[in-house]
Amino acid sequence: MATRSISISLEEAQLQQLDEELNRACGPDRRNRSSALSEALELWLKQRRLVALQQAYHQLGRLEGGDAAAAAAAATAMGSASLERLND
Amino acid sequence: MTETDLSQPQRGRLYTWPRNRAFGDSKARPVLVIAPDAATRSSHRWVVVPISTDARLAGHPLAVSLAATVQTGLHQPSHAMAWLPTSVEREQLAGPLGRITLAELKAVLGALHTALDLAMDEPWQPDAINH
Repeated sequence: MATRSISISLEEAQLQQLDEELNRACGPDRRNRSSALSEALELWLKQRRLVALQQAYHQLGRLEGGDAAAAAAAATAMGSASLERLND
Repeated sequence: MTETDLSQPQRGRLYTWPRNRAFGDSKARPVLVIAPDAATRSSHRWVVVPISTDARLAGHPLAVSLAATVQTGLHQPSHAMAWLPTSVEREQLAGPLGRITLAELKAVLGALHTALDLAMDEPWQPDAINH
């Protein structure tokens, strides 16, 4: 996958903690700050997507009645009708 | 129901599914075909998402708003419910009503991808399931 470089600033203490952790995990010669931060960012983004998904479904769960409920019932009916004719 | 012209791409087309009082739907329901044409050309069962006019869905991240235009054939501003794909018998559909744009189709498929978590962001722990 193509990558692009960005510049970020960390507090000195945070950078020190990062290096200590990488030294523990990989050794000082093999530590890779960029890779570690990329991994952390991916986890952060994934968590954000999950929270957004949960909120989206929570919001849908609070929608009662109206045309949205009728459409959901219709979708169930469509699936049921399709299932009934599965062996035709 | 009208004969469907299968020489035309079906993906992105809007059809009408008939009214079904038994399931509480008080009107014929527009649906959007999301199955790829490789599937619709060969199968009598198409994967669609239902269309709703419920204004509460406007701006919802899993719903894609569709305008009432000559092109879509929709009579009211509507919303594709990307989180509720279902299969439908091709013979039961009336139409087509119209077609959505490529950008709208991509938005619906993107919302479907999000709604079903196809990237598998959600932790999945099959070992925790007791069967």
